[in-house]
Amino acid sequence: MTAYLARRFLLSLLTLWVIITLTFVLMHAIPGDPFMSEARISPQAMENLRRYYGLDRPLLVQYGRYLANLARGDLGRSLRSEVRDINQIIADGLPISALLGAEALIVAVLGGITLGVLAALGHNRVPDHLSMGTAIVGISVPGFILATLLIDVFAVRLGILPVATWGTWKHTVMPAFSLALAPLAYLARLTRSSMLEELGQDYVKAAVARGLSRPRVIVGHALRNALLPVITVLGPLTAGILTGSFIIEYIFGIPGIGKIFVLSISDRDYPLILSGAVVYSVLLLATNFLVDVAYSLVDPRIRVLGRAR
Amino acid sequence: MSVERAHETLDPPAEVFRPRAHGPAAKTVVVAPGRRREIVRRLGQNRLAVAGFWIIVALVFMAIIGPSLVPYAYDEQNLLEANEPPSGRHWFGTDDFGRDVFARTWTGARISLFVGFTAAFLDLVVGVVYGGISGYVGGTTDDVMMRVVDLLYGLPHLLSTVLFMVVLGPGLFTIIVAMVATGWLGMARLVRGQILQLKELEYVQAAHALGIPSRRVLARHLIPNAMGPILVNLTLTVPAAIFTEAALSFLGLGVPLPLASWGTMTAQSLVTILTGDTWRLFFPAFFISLTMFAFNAFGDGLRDALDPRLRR
Repeated sequence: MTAYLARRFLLSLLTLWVIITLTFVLMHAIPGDPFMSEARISPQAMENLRRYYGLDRPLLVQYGRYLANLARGDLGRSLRSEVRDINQIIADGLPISALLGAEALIVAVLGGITLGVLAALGHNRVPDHLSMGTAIVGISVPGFILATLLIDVFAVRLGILPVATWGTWKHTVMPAFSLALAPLAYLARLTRSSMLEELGQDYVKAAVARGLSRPRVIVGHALRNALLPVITVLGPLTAGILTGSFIIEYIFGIPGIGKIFVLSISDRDYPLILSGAVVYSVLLLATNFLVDVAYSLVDPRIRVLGRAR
Repeated sequence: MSVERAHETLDPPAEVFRPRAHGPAAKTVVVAPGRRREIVRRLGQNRLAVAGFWIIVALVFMAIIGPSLVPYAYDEQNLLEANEPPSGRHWFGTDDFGRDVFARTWTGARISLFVGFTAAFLDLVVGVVYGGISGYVGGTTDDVMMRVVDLLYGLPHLLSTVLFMVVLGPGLFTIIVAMVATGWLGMARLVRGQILQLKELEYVQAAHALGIPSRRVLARHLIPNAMGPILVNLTLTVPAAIFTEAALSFLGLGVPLPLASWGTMTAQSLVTILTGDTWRLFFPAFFISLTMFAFNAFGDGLRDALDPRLRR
């Protein structure tokens, strides 16, 4: 298993390097340079700006310098933002995004698994139809639509939740729910089908025959096995919540890294865009790696066979 | 159709929040000609899938004729009639520039469907060619080609699309290019897996023994037989692409104004939450959701109908 995880880790590092390089090349493939739009700037000032940001050096030197700085944990300097140090910008935004993301993830996982189990237990009856109805809505309604509808109903019409920005827990309710609904719906369907499958297995019948209580059979036996496929999607699920936060944070005016990333794009703040991509990729690759570790711990087959895909 | 195994995730999707290219039933489905009727019959029993199918038909129909049903162009401004609620003159009302929302909605449908179908089709072409070659040639070639896919697969789809949009600039075709740039990966993996399984079967060996050239075996035998899962993946790629376009346009990275896209229409209607003209938000929001629902319902139904384990 160690060899397998070591390979996965190296692959993640390689992916990260590819992403950094690709993004770097992409950002420098944009015609013109970031200061072209500055109004009436003297040639001397322009040259100083370019030298300050190292844009006068050959591309390969810039790339090498960027990688060296990254390795030291220095993300560089933003071109536009008031706080010029990108490390500081990320340090300000990340806790907010992490809190929101964690909240959304918890809602999605708990809600999704609960709905899925209820649907499977009440198969083809009311609980099933209710859960799957919710799941269909969750898969059909994009997060940004849901967010605007929630704002309209709960903030403007009913006035029970704040419209936007960040502060108390009340500010997190609508954004967390908007972020969580799609993954929740996906998890509910996944849990339902996997639970239905497990409930039909012989070992469940055997457990019932041995006289185990119903909750014990359901939670201790069927659900435990039904959750295996759920764990595998946790990585992509987190990816969904992370990228979903671009839009949700933008709508709700939440000062997290999602909003910073979107604003950096409209500002054409290339170093910040680059850093955004790097930060998101690190988060994602780390999550995927952790999910792999978790999976190999939960499923003994992987320890022996390696991943038989 | 009781047991739904909609999400047998042997190969988990890249991005769950929009079911982009989920690994559908990874089991090989060999569609013999006689089974087609059986599949259609089972699809017909799935009410959601049937509803999805007819909604798609209706949406395509309205996208074609919708804009010409009203005497207004989608970008025709009339500031004297701005922000009017739905009425006999303007069936879906007008926006803040007095543009007819009905005309804009169906122009938006054209864009969404065009983006969805084109992106899905290009994903299909690139993915089938890449995955087909990788799976068929095998060996070191396959290893190298799949490591490349693995590397790119680590990129979150929306993130890479956004980055490409930054470089390429806004526009209808750049959106499609940006989406396909990483969108084909899931399809390539799927096709490769299918080809790997299929190429060991006897009839392929027989075709080789008969001296049929590889390209012909691939094009005439392997790809057609892998078509089931490919079709399912294709159907589910369309809503993912439509969603991505709407999200990008919502962020102002999508189609340029004054073109009407459901994403930009939603973004522009955001202010109406405060002014009280919320019906303007309703139309784009409703039609995006309806479209997503229709394609996802149909795609899921198709997957279930093709799943041999559900056959009775």
